[in-house]
Amino acid sequence: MPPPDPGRVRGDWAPDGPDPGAVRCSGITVRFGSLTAVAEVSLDLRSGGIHALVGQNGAGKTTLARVLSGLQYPDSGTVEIRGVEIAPGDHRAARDAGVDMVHQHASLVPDLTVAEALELWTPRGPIGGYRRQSVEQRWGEYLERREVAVDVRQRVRDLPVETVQSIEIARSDPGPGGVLLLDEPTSVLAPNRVALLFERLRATSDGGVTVLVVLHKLAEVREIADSVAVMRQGRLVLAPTPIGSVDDARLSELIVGADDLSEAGGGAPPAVLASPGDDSLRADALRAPGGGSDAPLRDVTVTVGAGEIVGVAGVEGNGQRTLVEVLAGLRQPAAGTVTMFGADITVATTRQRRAAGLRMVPFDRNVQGISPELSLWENVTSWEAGRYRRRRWLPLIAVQAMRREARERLGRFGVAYSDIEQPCGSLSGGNMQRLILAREIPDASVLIAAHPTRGLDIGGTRAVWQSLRDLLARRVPILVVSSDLEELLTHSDRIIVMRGGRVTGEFTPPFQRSDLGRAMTGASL
Amino acid sequence: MKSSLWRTFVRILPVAGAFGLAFALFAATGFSVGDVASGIVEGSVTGPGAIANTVRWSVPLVLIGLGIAVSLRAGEFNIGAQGQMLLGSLVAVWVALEWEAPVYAVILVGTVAAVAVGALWSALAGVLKVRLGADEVITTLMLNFVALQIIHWAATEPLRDPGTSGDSASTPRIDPALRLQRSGEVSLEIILVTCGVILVVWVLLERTRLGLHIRYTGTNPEAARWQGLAMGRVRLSTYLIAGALAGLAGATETFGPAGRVVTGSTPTLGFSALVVATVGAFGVSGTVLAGIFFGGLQAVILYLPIVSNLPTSGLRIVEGLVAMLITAQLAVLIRRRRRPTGAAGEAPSITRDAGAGRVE
Repeated sequence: MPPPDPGRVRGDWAPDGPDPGAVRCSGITVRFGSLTAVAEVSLDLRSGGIHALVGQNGAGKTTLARVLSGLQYPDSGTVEIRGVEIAPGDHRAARDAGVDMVHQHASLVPDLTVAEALELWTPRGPIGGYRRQSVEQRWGEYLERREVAVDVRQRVRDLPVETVQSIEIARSDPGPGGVLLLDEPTSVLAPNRVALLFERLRATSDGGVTVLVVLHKLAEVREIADSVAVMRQGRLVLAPTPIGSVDDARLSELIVGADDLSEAGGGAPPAVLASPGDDSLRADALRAPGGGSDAPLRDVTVTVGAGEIVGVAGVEGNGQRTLVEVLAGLRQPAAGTVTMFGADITVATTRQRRAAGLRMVPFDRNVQGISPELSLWENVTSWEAGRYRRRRWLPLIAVQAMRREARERLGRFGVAYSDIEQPCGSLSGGNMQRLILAREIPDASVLIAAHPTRGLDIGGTRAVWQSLRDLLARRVPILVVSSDLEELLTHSDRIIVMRGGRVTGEFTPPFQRSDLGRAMTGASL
Repeated sequence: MKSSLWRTFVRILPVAGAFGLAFALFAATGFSVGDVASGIVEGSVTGPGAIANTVRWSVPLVLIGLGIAVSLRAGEFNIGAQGQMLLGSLVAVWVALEWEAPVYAVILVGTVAAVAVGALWSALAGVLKVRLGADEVITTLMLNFVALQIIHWAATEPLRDPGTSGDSASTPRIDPALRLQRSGEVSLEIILVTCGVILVVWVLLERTRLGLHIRYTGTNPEAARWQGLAMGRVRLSTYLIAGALAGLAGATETFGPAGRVVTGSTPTLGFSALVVATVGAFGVSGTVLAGIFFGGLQAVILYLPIVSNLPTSGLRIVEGLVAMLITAQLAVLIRRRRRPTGAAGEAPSITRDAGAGRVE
């Protein structure tokens, strides 16, 4: 946090001495359970300039940035800021050393006014009383100096996202000699606002700040960065390199991995039963407004044939969620049609689609997949409780039969549980996902699986894919949305890539990672 | 349901706390705590006619409370029971005054009409909620006032008892032959009906598709949406059930202890029943227990001033403290239940994944 008085240079940075490097870290490793998010990364950022860090979802970029700013404890490794080693996971120390971070999701409290939200970031005495007028005046001047035009008495929630981001950048500005980290700052912005952000970053950099920015799109990297570094699967595969000395093809290859099919071919071969183009599930020229932070659909056409796995690849937020919601009947498209086995289901409800055999593995199992308070059997069988009616003339259901069915299904899908009455929320992530599969898969005639393996360990991931492969034997068409390109490359018969709410590429084996990478990042050929 | 009894116990704690506070206040202002305490036991259990009085107040509280519990299980905050019950009472009175027929035919038709009117009044708010997204807390609360005005009009115009006027205006009493119960009595029919309703509501919640879907929708509307549950229909049905039970309570009041509808000083059974359902943890057994507990409390409130010199306002303090402490709990519950919104397309894309941390 910068002190409100301008021009103060913190730390022991000596502009005339030898450059100790702005940020230097070595051997950083971060694990989440069985997942290694960052593996043995050593990075040396020179002072000054704008450095881009690129990579796929899950490559470890954000985690590394959080380690550098002291927000994440590394399992091993050290971080030096301008030659001074900071204690791991000590955000205060990192800030005092001149490092600050602008997060992907704004960290200013939406209910407060701009002045209040900024004041909250300023360490004060134990009681921290303040006078509104002086706070407003101080922060008003502070933002004015940094050319952010905003009334500090407005509430944060009432401001457009790009203004909030400008305030965040101003808030985080560590001053000359400091280091500013930005986590995917362009992902929340409309395209025409990106140029403004870049101007601001350039000005910040010109003010003597070293900028490290996490980005997805190569065009943006080209536009703003002086140097670029690439991470893939937790490793740094390209150390900071001047942007002029590496071309787009090379970058996208580094991002998605080399075109080595023996490496990707570790899984089962593509199903021979696939009959692409018979259009068991077909979405035609779909247009739909985006939900939340997801992109709207712009003329999306997707087909899935019997016994075919179609993967939907892309950086998250590029319309995949909207597409699944439209296919599931949870969101009405503004234009276009959806057909299932030739029948038009564009306006059908979710219930009608399920009655026709459409099944979904939702994005977020805790939020959309289960009811954590209800029991296991209720979570498996409730939605089709009508099947368990005792008599046609009496609306009573046979609870014993429902429990039996649930036990049978949970057993078949290898869910580890102690009591069929236990609340579903008590299951581990992997078991919960298996429960959802046990509910969705047995009677599926079309399956849409959204991030089916997210957050699962190797065993859970394998079980999920085994279940999906078993479905192929019944020639069920499957659409899989995933941000894990590796698993899509391994299991898909066909991959479509979405970017900005459009299908920017459709690929069949043998997959060329570089082509996929270009379609995902928008790199020019 | 398994832990419904336990949760009920937890919710009775604020009630006990309210008694503790009230007793401290009584002692500080010079009343004998012993007298008041023994009066409470006499007034609700051991005194002459005390049990009958407790039952008399428990019946409507249990009936209405169960309907509210069903609503709350679906995540719907239908607080319009007061109006639904009063309209039910009014319609029952109207049938009883206007229709000459065998006693049981009048009671049956009057009851059915009361149930139907209560359900319709409640469904009005339900349709507004399900079709238009109108906040049911506001619509059901406001419909109470509309119902009160209808009662007031009926009791001063077409169904006026000539001996009454103004705020205490009431309808005439119905023919004594139609009364199943008068004050100080217990009606077997009404108790049997109440027991039947308890059983039916339990079966509904635990052994029917509708019940499962009510509970699924109430605990996670977002997951219910993904599984294609007919949420509009499920929600609307809880309005019908809550309104029907409130209307039924109105009928048992009319054909039972009340015998008429009074505009002014009606005990606010509909709101007490909201407390009952909350204390009862929205469960059937819990709501029944809480209904009997508050029924006893109501009997005491009417009895205690007679035997001790404690003014009625002293017992209103107990009631107020109970309501206050319960409301504090209710506020927490509302906040917890309201969090997952079922509205289309508003689901934030922030992932709450178990296990893995945020990796990028």
